Amino acid sequence: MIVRSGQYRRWGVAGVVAVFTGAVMLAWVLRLLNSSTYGGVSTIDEMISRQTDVPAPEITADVRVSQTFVASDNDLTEVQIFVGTYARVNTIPLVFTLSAGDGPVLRTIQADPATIYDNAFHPFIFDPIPDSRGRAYAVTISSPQARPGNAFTAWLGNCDCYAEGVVSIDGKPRQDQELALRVDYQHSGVVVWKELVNRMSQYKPGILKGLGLVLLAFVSTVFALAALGAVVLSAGPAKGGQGRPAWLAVSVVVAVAIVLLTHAYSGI
Amino acid sequence: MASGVRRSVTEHPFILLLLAVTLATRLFWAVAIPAFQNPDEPQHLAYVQNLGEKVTFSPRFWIPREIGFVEELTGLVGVPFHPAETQMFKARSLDGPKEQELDRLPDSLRTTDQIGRADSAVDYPPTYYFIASLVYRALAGFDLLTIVFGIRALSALMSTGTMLFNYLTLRRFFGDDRTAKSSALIIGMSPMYANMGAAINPDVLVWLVFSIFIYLMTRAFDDGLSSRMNLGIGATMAAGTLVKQTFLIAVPMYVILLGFLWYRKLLAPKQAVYSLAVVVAMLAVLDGWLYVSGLIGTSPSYPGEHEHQARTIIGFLQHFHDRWWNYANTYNTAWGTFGWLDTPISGRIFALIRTGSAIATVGLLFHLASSIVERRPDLKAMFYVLVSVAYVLAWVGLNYLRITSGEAWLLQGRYFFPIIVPVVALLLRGLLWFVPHAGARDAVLVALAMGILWLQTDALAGYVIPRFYA
Repeated sequence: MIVRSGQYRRWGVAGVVAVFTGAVMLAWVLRLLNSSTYGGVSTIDEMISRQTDVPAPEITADVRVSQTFVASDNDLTEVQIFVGTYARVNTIPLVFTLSAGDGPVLRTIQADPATIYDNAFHPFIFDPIPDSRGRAYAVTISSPQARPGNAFTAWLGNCDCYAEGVVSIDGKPRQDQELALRVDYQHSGVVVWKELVNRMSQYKPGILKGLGLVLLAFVSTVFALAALGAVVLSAGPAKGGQGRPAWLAVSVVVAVAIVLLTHAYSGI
Repeated sequence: MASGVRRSVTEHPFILLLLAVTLATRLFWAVAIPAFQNPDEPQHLAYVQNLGEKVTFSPRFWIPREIGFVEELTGLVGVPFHPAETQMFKARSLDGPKEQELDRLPDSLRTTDQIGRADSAVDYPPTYYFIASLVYRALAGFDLLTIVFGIRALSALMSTGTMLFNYLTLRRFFGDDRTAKSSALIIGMSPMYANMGAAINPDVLVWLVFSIFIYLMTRAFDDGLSSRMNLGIGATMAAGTLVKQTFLIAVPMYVILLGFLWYRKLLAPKQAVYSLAVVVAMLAVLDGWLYVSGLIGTSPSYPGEHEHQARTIIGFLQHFHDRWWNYANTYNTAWGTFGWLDTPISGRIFALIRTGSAIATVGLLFHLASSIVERRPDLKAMFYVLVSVAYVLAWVGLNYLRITSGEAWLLQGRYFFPIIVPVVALLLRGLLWFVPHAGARDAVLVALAMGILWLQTDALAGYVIPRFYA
């Protein structure tokens, strides 16, 4: 079999385009992994209660909804409460406080009413509490300026599904109900891509966990780049031709890559 | 046809590469999207599970309890409805917090109804569900999540077959391998096509049958409509209608083919009428009795808040006049909305695709006009245009009928996927009209192929994975 130099050149060009595209894709993924897009990977959720059967009374000036819980880890950094807007636009802020059991208020957050969605968990994010593990906390939501018709609510589950805490409305405990609540803990030293592989592996079949998942991503990327290389190979003049179009292809590829990289490092 | 396809597969390494990349990417998408997060996936899974537990002509109306249990245990139940919500995670672990409990769920949950949670998918024909139920039975000893990903793998396999016929069609349309390869890669790596191609959904089988239908139509356009080919097309349409009722949209597309063949003097009027009669008879015999007997119903309805409205031609035109921008946006979403949440790609990319599509459409019009002026009309492109327009008009009409019945807006971007080959082929034809130089055309094709790889990477790493896992 006689292999002409033109063919080597075409294979070379195809290889360069494929490798270059792979590098651009990798740079893009790394850039995203290091951005705030993946900030949530560093926190771990704990569901206190997901049940949403009835709304609490409308949280007006004289209504306060509280729930106690025991932190299961250190660096408590976020509490999410399942709130409702009564399918209307409310304009009065919701006030969140986190207290140490019956002790002092540790964190206070005022939620902008425009950011609160109907029937969804609303996140209240605060500076991590380092030694939170095993300690009891109470979250309270109130809205001192709210009036009926312009106020939020929070959803309760008709169950005693969280043994270590209790919900109370205006200080009166309700043993047979829980506030729909989840809490988050900051995990320091998390390697984002590793934790991402962990998360993507959870609730997946064993063969697709960890290495299986990484291999699948790798194989599909390699196949995709090989297919791109095949497209480049089929471009240009007939076999053994001048090869000018192939170099034109390379110049376009480089131009596209430069645009993408510029885009990548100038923020989306 | 079979020998032609077999020969193509073995003679062209690119086809094997295309099949490999299609299967691998769809398997990755199958894993990237958590269970139950594709549109109506619990309902489709419920139908499969009910048939997997007991083969019957009247599957159970309710979703099995097991699905609800697993949704609750994993924390996936609220994910589709709340943009900030994810499943529950366990730090530094490959197993989810309640994963061991999944193994211990009693088998009785599989045959117990979750009363109050209806399975709207039972209105669809059972073909896809029956095939998927074979996978269910094979994996019945495993937990439900393993079964979910097993059925998704079946979808990935079906999509791989679809891409084979897509590529063969593109080769016939363009008549040159290099454009066919690029366009096949563009279609195969289109993010939402890949996403939905790995979902538990009868649409996946619809696309496979539709890709065979479009391929056979294109072959008939080139070679004429032999009796054997006509039977093949009729059988494909009958098979497609057994998967989903909306496959009947293929009938007007077939009539357009007959019209073109008659115009090109490849088919006498009598032959055309006879061919149509054969196809209609096949549909009546193979599908009609199932519908008439009530074994297969019409598509599920999606209740809305609208009132019934009178249906008139003027009313339809007014509806289209008022809502054409919604239709255009719906078409756009075929490029990048994912899962139940419609997690989008960025507005910039949508704008780029919109602009590119508009430029390509202008180029296509110039191409068609110049081909007519030069007395060498590109009839195949015109055929694809009419076929695509017939398909879109049928959906617009169906959408109008639904809305005037008081139901919600029906149309979604993914409903355009059966005609993704004609649409992308036409757009490429239009785009390349602006690039007469062969070398520059190659450069454009390579750049587009690169762009689609980047788009898929961006869709996954920039939107889908952080939405569900970060």
